[in-house]
Amino acid sequence: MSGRPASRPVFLPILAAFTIWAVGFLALYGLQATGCRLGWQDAELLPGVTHLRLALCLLLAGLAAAVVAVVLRLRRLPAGFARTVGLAVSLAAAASTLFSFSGVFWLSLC
Amino acid sequence: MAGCGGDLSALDPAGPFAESIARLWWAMLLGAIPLFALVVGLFLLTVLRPGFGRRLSAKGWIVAGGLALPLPVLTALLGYALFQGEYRLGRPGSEALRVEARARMGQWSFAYPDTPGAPVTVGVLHLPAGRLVEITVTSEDVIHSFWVPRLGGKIDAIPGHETRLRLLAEAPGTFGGVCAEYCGVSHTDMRFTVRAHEAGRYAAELAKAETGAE
Ligand SMILES: [Cu+2]
Repeated sequence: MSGRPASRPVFLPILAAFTIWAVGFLALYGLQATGCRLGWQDAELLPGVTHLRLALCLLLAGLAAAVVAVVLRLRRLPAGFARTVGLAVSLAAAASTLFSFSGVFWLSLC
Repeated sequence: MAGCGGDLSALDPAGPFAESIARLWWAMLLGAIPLFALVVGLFLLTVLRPGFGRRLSAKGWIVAGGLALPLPVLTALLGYALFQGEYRLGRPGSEALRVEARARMGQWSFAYPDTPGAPVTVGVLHLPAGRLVEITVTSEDVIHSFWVPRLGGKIDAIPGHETRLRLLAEAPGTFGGVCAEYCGVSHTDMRFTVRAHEAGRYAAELAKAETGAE
């Protein structure tokens, strides 16, 4: 446990992206259930695009942007364990965010 | 396969929605057999033939076995399952006959808003054969789950909330139904019977149906 006492904990860059993924998972489910309850799936903004779907898509876009921001931030770190592992994990989280949440674009919502 | 028949067998479908679930099950089983054989075969080769595992680098094994093998398989299965789910869900309203299922601990009761004069039946759900039925499911107390394995999928019965499920029995007959979410000591008693009547006699059969014991 020697080294610079002011250095940031090494797990932060590694955990950040998937923490956003996990918060996003909860938020998407919460928004979906709340929107269904409030009837947001009945109000169409454009043909076939309901308020609820738009809200979920915007939330997903925000999550993706947050994960991308983590990736960009990590690329500025000095080379080392935290950067290598953090970047790999964050790229996996970016792919996973788009893959596992892509249902908001087309699945029945309520 | 003796355990796969009977009143509550999801592998003995009696309508299109249950059939789509059974198809998914068979697709997963048939897909799992060659994959299992492949993984066990590779494992045995590495054990029995020293040096076999070294043909691929450690990174190669991770990419091949950890990404290249599972990702396409799981993606295909997920896509198939989601598409089938959309098919079983359908669009609300439409041409379906509406039935309401109400759960409470130890008991299912069914109401028939589209059939004037029909009684509320307890423990027995009456359906017309060959006609699409949309069940609106809710609960009076805790969370239950409505399941008629030979006719369709499960749907949770949630207090203060209505969920929908479509069923279709292709031919007249009697089918078993259960609560599929543990809900207390009366959970095992929460069985019910589905009677699918000939469509022409449905209204008459329903009118003379017994309300059942409270
Ligand atoms: Cu139960």
